[in-house]
Amino acid sequence: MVKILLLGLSGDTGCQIAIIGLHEALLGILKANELVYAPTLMDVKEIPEKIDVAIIEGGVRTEHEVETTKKIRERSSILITLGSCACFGGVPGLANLKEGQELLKKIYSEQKGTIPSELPSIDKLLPKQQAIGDYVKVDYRIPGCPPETSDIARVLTTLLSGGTPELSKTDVCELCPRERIGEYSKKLKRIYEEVADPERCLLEQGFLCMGPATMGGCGAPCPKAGMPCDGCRGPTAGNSDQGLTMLDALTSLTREANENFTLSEYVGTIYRYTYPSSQLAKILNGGGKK
Amino acid sequence: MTETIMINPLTRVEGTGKVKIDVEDGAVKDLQFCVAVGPRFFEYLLTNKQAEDAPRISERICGICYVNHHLVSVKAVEDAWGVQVPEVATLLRRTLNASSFITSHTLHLAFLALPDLIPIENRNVIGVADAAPELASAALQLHEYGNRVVTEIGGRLVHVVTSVPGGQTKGLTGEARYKLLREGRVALTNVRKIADAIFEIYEKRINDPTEYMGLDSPYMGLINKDGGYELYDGEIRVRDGKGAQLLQFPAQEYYKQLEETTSGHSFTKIQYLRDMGPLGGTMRVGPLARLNVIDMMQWGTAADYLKAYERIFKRPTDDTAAYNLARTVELVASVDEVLDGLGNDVIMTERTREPVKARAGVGYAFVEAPRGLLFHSYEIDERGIIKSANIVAPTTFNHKSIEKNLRLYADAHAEAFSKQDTRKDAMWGIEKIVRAYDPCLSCSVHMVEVDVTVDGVKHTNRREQQ
Repeated sequence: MVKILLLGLSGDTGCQIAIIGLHEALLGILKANELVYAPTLMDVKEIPEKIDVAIIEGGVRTEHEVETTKKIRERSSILITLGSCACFGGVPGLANLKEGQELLKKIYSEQKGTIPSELPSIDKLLPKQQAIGDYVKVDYRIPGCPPETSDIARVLTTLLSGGTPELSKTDVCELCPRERIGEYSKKLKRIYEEVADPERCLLEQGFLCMGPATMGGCGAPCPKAGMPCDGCRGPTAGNSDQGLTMLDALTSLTREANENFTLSEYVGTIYRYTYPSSQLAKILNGGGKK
Repeated sequence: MTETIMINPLTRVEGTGKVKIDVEDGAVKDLQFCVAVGPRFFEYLLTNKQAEDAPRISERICGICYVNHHLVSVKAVEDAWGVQVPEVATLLRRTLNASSFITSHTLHLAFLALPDLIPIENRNVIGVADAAPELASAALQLHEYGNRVVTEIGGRLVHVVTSVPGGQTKGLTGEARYKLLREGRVALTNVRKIADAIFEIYEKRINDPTEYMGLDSPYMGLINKDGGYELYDGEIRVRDGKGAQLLQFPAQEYYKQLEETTSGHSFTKIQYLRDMGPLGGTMRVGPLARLNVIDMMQWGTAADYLKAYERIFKRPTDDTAAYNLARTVELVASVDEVLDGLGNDVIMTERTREPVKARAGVGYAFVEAPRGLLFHSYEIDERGIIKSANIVAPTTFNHKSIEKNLRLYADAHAEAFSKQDTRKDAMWGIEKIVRAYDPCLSCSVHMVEVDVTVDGVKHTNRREQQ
């Protein structure tokens, strides 16, 4: 009986919902092992002393979350970060362009329709959202927002049977059925402006698709559904900075992308999930994390 | 001497929260319901972003209500740009929204709420699977069906991608439609199985009015143009607990009718009806509120269950115990609505979107999420860049009412909180009430713990202190 912990920190519980998407297979895993702590699913209130496999969703945003992360690391044999918030900081990390206290003031007292009263003080807010790996050693990462259910199943069953799970070494384009003909649009287009050709590569048509800079293995569901990849699985194996990889891909596409580039408008496109872990954030913050 | 009892973290809810109760000389001195999910500042991080990205960014607020955030977000952008979408896009979105109620309500009822409703030792998903394997299996199958509809229309499971200003990037293939319709018949059987089981529990249940308590509050929910049940469009209706209509207004009048303030002990804000002020104007939303504000239920199977509901609770009702039964009626309605949408030939229209133009403007939109009304509003410039955003999630609307409801309960059970041997059950009672609202703490911001102080000594529902 492997003792499993499943906990969400500063995130949206979507990764745990993706785990529930395993349905009968999940019941099998839960019956063959022992879920020792999972506030979303059961009533244990205190983190147990001994954990074999800890699975953490969400990034770190408050001091309490730092303590929790360290406590879990000390008590666990294996720590897995589940999803892009835990792995890279995730979408909430886009708020790192402004400091925490300044944001509290802005949202809780300067927002339209808000009559200012006390600022929340229940837990000390850190200046920035960070990935779990910025605070403790991480054994395995399962990126994605959320990760594909099949990825979660594969990593868990491999680990629980004593194996070493591996992640995809490809990019999203690898399994994308859209056709590339090597000709690029001269103009960078926004998705609402025109109805994309359903057969051709979205990037070639001028829509900013993050496929070439993003870890593959998902089967490209977004481009298949007519939407550009937004990079939720983080950088490809061997690349640490997803946005720089994408900019590199773009230089060959169009001059306009570079001429009209403003960080605040594009940081949500090329660094949507990975800004806290990016080289850019490190340069802007002078390398300071904690 | 004051004793603090903490229920921390609240469990079997989405996100992190706690309840803190101060007890002095056998009476409750203070009670705080704290949402402790670290704030993630979505309103800030949407600003200066391209408006068409808002549906994909803002749905990351919540892993359960993601469909609803995705849809309300695209509607708010379209409202700002004055965009009308093709009929097929509206039908796809309505069906998608209803399918999110299948997954969310099934998960809540079968695996989070049922452990409180049936007498089992092991109050969790495994406990339910052991005690009622057939019911658990029906719930898993129904949840899976909801997931399939979401994936087929939304393009992806958890964090859908297909809604874009102007319509949907993807329609349904004939094959997918018939498969979902075929599987839908099994879903209807499964939903009846689950609903019958929950109705049976309620019919046999001895009604203890202090178990969940009744709370006098305004109720707020969407209605369609005939006063019927509505999850995607329509106007907001506000009724009081006696059924008198207080207000009816479109999303564009949000700031005229509602105001919000902040609280020192919670990361969530407090919403209230402007006319009634911050003390009396805090409302309730969600299943109970929706059934309280509608004149009629247009979905056939659900209408039958609504009649059965009215034999147990009057409508409108103030009784918080009705939340889970109202949720059950809604679960049936969501299967009805999904099957109705899939059965409508309009859904096969080939062109599911039109290109549109960005323009400067302010957009407002509401949809119903499983736990209640959800509001987004954006100010957008002429280049289609968001300049400011405001998001009010269901649990933000409910937050103060939950706290008031818990206070009523704590006052009624003050003696039980003061004594060591009865405290544990009293704390469970607190958690049952919080759970009845199915709070989405990530949405409201994010966290619940329960702490109680009795005569200056802190108690929590953490294991070692019980």
